[in-house]
Amino acid sequence: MPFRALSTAALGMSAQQKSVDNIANNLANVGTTGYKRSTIAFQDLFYEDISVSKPGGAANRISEDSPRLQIGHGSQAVSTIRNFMQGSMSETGNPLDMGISGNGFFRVEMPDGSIGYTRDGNFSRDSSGMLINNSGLPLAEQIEVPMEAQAIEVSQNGTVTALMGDNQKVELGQIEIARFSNPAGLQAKGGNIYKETEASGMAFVDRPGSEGFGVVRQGYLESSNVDVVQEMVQLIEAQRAYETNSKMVKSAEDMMSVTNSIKR
Amino acid sequence: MAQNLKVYVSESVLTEVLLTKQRSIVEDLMTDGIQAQMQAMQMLRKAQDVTANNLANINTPGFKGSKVFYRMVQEEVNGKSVTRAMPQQELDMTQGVLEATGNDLDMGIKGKGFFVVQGEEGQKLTRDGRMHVSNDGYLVDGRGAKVMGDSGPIYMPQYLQAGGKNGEPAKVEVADDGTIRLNSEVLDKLKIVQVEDTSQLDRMGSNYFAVQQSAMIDDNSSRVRQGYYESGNVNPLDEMVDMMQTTKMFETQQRAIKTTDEMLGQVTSRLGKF
Repeated sequence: MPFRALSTAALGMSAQQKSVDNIANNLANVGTTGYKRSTIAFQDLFYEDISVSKPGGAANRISEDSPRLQIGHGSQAVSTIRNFMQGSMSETGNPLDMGISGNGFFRVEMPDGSIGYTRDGNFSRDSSGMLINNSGLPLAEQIEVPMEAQAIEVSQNGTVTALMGDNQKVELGQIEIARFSNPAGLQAKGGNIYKETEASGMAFVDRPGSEGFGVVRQGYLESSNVDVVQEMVQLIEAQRAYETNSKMVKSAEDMMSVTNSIKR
Repeated sequence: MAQNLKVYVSESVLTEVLLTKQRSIVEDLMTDGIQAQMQAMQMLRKAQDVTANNLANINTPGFKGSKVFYRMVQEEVNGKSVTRAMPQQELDMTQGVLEATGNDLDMGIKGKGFFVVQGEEGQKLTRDGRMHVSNDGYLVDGRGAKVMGDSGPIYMPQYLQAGGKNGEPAKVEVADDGTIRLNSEVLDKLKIVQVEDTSQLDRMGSNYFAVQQSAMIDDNSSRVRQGYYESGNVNPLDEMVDMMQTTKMFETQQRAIKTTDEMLGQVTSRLGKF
């Protein structure tokens, strides 16, 4: 009969390991535009009801007054919860940089034609003048900036206008942003892109500045919302929890060796 | 000849007496010694399993540790009265630290209450109040179970539509008595219950407890804190001490078994010479 404590502690260690991995990823993205930090959600595993056997009786005789123990099987890391709190806005001075202040995501067209969502508004023009993000994905609104445009203006409501050579303003398009009832349920795809899932709910798309939507700020980028100090504190906690559980592995092992040495 | 016979009789009587004595010594050593010590080792093992589970859940939100303690019981074994230690388990309901998350739908409880959720197998209790609104508009916990209000599952589809002013999302405010206001209008009140006798709580895993419906008492004394969740209440220091103690007691029992085993060896080999 193996020692339950051994596998319980081992599961505890692997849960903490996942937490450390996740914190490492947060820390690695301290400088990533629009990055949202994530935390790991833990929960306890199932419990086994054990009735303490009584001496002189059958091995597992259960009687009314025999005390009941509930032996848990450890913990598991069940999901990643992303925290969508606003990151601070930093001014870049680049007219094609956009940050969303408040709720919402820019919509970009993925290579497979589906829509990806991002808070990273670091846009530029490709050779044909199309607005693309830094992975080369075009904005879903397909906004083309003519080559002869002198300046670009993006209003807080997402209207993009170009200032032409003869002081004429030409409206190029309207950027719309998407909002989710439960952004924490979005699936991170890498490259700062999220995809909608059943858990996130459907995207509501509207103009920036409408009710429930944030506004677009031209010339700013949203920094990552990772707080280094907070992550370091959590890292220490996770590391210590890992260590504590490894001590339990050692103890369980000691107990097993004690058991083995009953027989001379 | 006659004398010889006499010796033979007394010898057989003597052997009979000695064998009976030996049998009773062996029996005593077995039931009072080895059996009891084995049982103690089994119990210590279980105590260690409980400690291991506490330690594995140091960072589990809303987790409540278990404590093992021993109760002395008198028992009748083979017609003799024997004293035994029986392990008992108790939930440690100490308040965990409330951690701020800044998420409007994270709730922590200060006090003895529990949130009630509607699972697939009836209502369950939890202290893990990290919630969100599901696609169909219900307030659900992290595992998708509907959170109960005073008037049934809390339904707030308005939350899914953009609601507030100045580009703000629909605003949820939870007062400290659990009253939920959506865009300043009262929607419902979180159902919070207490259980007087915590030994009736069944641990279900996934941060849930189950209890008989009749054991739930409405709770008006606990306070809900919005934007916080409760961390687990396991104290690593206590658990480490328990762990070391259990390990040492385990070793002690093992030595006791060895000693008893040696005594048995003595009894059988010495008396066997007759």
